[in-house]
Amino acid sequence: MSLHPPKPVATPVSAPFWEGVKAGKLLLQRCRTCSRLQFPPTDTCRDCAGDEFTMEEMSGLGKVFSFTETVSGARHPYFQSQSPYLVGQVELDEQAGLIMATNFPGSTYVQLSVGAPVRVEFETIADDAVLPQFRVV
Amino acid sequence: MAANRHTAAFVGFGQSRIFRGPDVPLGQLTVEASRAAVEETGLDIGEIDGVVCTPDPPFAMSASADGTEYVTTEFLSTALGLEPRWRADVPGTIGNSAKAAIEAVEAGRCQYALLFRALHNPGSGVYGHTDETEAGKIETPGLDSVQYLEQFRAPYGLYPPADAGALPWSRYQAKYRRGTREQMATLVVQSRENGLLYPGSYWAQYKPVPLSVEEYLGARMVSRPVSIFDCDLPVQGAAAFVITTAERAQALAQPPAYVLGVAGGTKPRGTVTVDESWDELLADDREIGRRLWADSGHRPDDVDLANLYDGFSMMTIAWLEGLGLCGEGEAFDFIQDGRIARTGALPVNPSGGNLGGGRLHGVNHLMDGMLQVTGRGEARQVADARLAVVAVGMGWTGAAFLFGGDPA
Repeated sequence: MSLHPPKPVATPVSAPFWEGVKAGKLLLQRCRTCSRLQFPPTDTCRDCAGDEFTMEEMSGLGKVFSFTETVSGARHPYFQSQSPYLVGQVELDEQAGLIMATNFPGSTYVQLSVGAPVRVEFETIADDAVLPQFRVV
Repeated sequence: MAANRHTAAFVGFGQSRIFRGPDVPLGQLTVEASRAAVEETGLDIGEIDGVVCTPDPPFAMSASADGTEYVTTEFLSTALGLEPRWRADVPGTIGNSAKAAIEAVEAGRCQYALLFRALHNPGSGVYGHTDETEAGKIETPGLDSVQYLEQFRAPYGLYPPADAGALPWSRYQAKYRRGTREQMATLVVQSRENGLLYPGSYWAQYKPVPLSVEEYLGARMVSRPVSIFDCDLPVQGAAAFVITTAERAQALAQPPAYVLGVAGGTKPRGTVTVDESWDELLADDREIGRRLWADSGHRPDDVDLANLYDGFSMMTIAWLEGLGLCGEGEAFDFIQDGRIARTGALPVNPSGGNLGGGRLHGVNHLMDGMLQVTGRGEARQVADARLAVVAVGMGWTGAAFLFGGDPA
């Protein structure tokens, strides 16, 4: 297997999210008690301590929240080989403060700007490993 | 001004030798620091009846040994031959264990609490997650297996300082149109200058050279806009404090630094994909500030100096605004024109903090706050310093303290 990013390893609470990603869907938890969306998935709602969730498909649309270019100091051999590389956060349109990580495929550091609209896509990084990524649209 | 709700005082400080790597076992350094702290109070070590620490190493604890990679109260009590009435190993930062020490003394759980923090740095190879300077040499353990939160971060190559150092800074730049590296240079250059005056700092001991603005601006970039000098330097060392009541303090050898206010951290936020976003960091630091000023009855305008946590340079910016020492979006302008120098209107981290001292987490900040208000700051002494605010950690792991040279 060629060099690839660390694969996400699902646990029971995160498995529905990663299964959704493999099926090309962005499924996030919505708390049945307080109706808030949250990410990453947990057993207990961070806002109200509720423990029942529905998995809800997101539109996949959002905005650039913040970004950086890691130039040196990458810890993983894959990212060392990719340096400099972009990494940052997007805020999903569904809820303020609902933030996910991404590498902004197709962008360069000087092109990126906070607030730019993004759309999700799904990147196969290794055998049996798919990541949600957000591309500026 | 309201009467002081607190009855505790910091009365002793000691620091071990510090090293870049594990030259001397951490347990031994902790004993060294603890004995020094107790000695300067004039107490007999056997009078220590409370021991408290934050044992967390800045990397996974599972493969570590007590006394080598981290130190617990059990280890230190045994090593010092103590049988304390009260002990606590409090997770998080030294802010959390300092808060516990103050509460224990005020509640009468012990008379003399020994608070310590010991930080291990293996030098190379296994430091892992939070090493900034040796990062190129480090292999991430278990390439294909990442821990729970890491599953949402590591596949993107998102780790320090990109997360807590760079992303809040980039967000800040976009939000307020402020915060260039030229502006940040003022803080980092000043921190090095201050740290060179503190004999216990890494730079004073091993590389006693100032940092110029040009060197800062030309420094190796890590995660834009964070350069190597925006990150603190991992070291191996330990420090200890003695805390007792203001009343008992009168009989001890050093003038007491009175505790005038204490505020603990807030709950972890939802977006734990990164440590905290700028918006969350500011909100949490503000909440801690609100609690501190309410607890103390003082206002930001009252303080003579500030010790603000600086594991990454951006954290100090967040505390300046969060504690209300300047307005939102104003910190990068506020730190200019000599305002944060030791002779300025609000000296910041007069003993160098982490950036000018090395990564003993919040030790430098508590130490400086305590020594300044009692006139013991030596070459770093801020003139007429009677009130010092100290903020340790960041956001939800944070805590803040107000020290006074007077009991109220």
